[in-house]
Amino acid sequence: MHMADALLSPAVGTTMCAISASINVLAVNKIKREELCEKKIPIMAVLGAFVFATQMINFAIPGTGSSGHIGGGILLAALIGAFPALLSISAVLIIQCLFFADGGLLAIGCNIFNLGVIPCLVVYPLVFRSLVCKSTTTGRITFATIASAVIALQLGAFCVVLETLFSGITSLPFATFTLLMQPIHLAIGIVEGIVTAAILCFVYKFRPEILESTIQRATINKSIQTKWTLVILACATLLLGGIASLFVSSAPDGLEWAIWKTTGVTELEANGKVSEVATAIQDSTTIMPDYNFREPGEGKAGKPLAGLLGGTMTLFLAGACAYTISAIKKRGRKKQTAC
Amino acid sequence: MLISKIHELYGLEQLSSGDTCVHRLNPTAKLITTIAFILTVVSFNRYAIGSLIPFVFFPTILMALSDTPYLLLFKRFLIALPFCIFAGIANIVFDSGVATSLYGIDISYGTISFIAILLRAYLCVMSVMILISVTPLSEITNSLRCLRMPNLFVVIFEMVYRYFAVILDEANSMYVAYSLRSCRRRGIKMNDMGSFIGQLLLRSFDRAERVYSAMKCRGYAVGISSRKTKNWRWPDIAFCVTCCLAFVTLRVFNIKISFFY
Amino acid sequence: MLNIHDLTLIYPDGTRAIDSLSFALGKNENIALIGENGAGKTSLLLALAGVIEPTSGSIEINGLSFTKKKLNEVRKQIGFVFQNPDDQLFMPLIYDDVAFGCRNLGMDECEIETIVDETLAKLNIGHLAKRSSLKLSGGEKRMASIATVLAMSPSVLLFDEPTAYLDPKAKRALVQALNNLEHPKIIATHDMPFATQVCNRIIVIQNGKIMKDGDLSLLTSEELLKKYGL
Repeated sequence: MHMADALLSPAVGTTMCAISASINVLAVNKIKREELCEKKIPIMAVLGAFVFATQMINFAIPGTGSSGHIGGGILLAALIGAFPALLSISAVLIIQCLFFADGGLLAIGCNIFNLGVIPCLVVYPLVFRSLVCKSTTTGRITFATIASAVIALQLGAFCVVLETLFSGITSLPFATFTLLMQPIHLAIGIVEGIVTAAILCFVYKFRPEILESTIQRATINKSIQTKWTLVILACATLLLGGIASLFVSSAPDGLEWAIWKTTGVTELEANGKVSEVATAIQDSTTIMPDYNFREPGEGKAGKPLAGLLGGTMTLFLAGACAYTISAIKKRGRKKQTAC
Repeated sequence: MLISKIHELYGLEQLSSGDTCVHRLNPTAKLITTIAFILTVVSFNRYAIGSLIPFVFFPTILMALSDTPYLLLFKRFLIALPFCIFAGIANIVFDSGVATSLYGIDISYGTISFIAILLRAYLCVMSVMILISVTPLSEITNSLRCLRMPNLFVVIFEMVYRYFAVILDEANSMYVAYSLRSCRRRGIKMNDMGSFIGQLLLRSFDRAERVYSAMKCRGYAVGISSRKTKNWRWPDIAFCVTCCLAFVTLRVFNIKISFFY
Repeated sequence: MLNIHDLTLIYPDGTRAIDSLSFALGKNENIALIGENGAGKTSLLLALAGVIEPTSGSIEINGLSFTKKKLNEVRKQIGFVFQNPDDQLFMPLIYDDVAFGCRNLGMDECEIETIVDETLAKLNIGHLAKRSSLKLSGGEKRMASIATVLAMSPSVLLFDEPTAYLDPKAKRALVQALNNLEHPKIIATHDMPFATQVCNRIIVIQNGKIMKDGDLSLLTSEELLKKYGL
């Protein structure tokens, strides 16, 4: 469910980064104000590492040959509270992106939102806590965990659909994409929920104080947290709605137009000297003009062939550059050792 | 095996301790350039193969300059592929209008966008992987501090990175012990998952307590962040400005490959 | 230097980890704290390091008594080396780990750099400064964790099982390093040969009480050791 940079547009990517960053800053400030803040730091960090490590452990899904792993948002929120859990998950997602190419650098905002903000700040307070706070029993924990895991994953998957569609890189129609994503993630969510419930019940059995204290603290702060949840939800909806109204009407191809419009440059019909020069350069350099694909007419067969050749040549040139640099470096090193 | 994941993490860490002109650059300069690169690459429309190809030079030359092994990074790229391929194939199915034809073989818009998506994925993943393999984590976190990321978050980030390996090591020995007694079945049975991970979780909790004590013994308080950071020197500014200018030029003038036209 | 008087520690679940324990640590003394598993060694060290608060009794270091207000000053005086170095090395680089304590004391970076370099050189691990703790061997990790504590220039050193995870060669290096440090030390250990090489006083504890307190000759009596579960 980690989104990659390749399927994102700059507008969606940066907007989501801004949303996630501001929510994270909010979380940092909230935690800083709490008592025993410095004690929470190692707990957040080590449990973040724990979630990261457990994601590497695959468990066998009964009846199928496949395997899955846990997401961790709900698990962490139940153990250490909503805001600390968000910070842990964010740190984990950034490391996954940097070291394992799991999700992209620009997509980090989307990923933190889908896998961190939604389970920790939306589903945990609204679903998990309201189900568990009245009385804490194993049965209730199990039910609440499965319900929240499923809901969190459904919401997350739906956000992936929205973010991808607004980016306009894919041609998947909305309905098909949703119909593909939701059922798959329903199955994953149920399995994840069951496993998370088993872990939480185990913890509840052997160290009940961990769960109880978190739930208690959450109940005390309930009014405040619900307020924040609503604020976050409202902001996110507004921003997402804003992007949606900008892009949905103008279909994928309108996207680039919209970017140029907002940056104040239009690609083809611009006036002025700069753009004249630009167009001139462009005309003389273009062999595989992407817009020309849309225009039927002259040179239909010649252009793709030339493009293919040109593309291959460029790749070769890049490779040759790299090879030359390495060769020069190697020779330099040999000289050094010889000296 | 789980242990291979630790090696995956170490692999890049090891590369980042090299000493080439790319390694010596200011980490903030590298970070900014990488982000600029990704933003530019991503801003092209979905059929823009021609415009994307010139960008291949950036990762390739950086890799050559920094002695980074190509295959190691390329493997990471393959890991990142599945979702992109899924979206790309969907494009082939749903965007089937014929764009052009080559020797009588029709090429659809979907195919073009499929290739473009792969190219975008390649460029984005490679640029991030190179950033990591030429910059030690401690330098990255320092530059995050320079960029005003809250210190509390950066500390958590550093510690997650540190303890990932420790906990994974613990998980690995538990996993080996489990699979030795479970007759070579792959993975862990769902029934045992709760207590398996639960055990690991409680151990992690205990470890967190001990780490907290160790920090407290050395006088830890929130909000201390004095660090020595690398200064910006001329090569750093030159690198950052040249690359960003090149990206902007390529984008604004939309230079596409052309050798025959 | 370190005076412990009538110290008692009762955990919330009712276990008496330390039971009215008193002793004093002199200037040139290296105490080996021995006792069976669960005798209260680690609890005692944690209490001495100011990590857990004793239920009753008093601890005094250089005339400074342990109170909540002065806890930070007290911690500066006591260096505690944990049993598992992984608990103590939590930064990306060894350099940052050693500098961590100094940074918390509010020193400036140039000063810290000299201190870190000196400390690492003292323990012969100067080459580890720019390495990550992920990849060190057990012996190197142990030395690094000692360096993190030494950098804060404490007046007393506490060790919890310093020989755990070490091979014979690393153990010899550790013995040499510890003998080079003139700080008074309290070392909780199960390793009797190690204790004879480093310490000059033995304290045997069982169920949180001091059973025997004397010089190295205590270790030679097999019968006595068996009696206290060793």
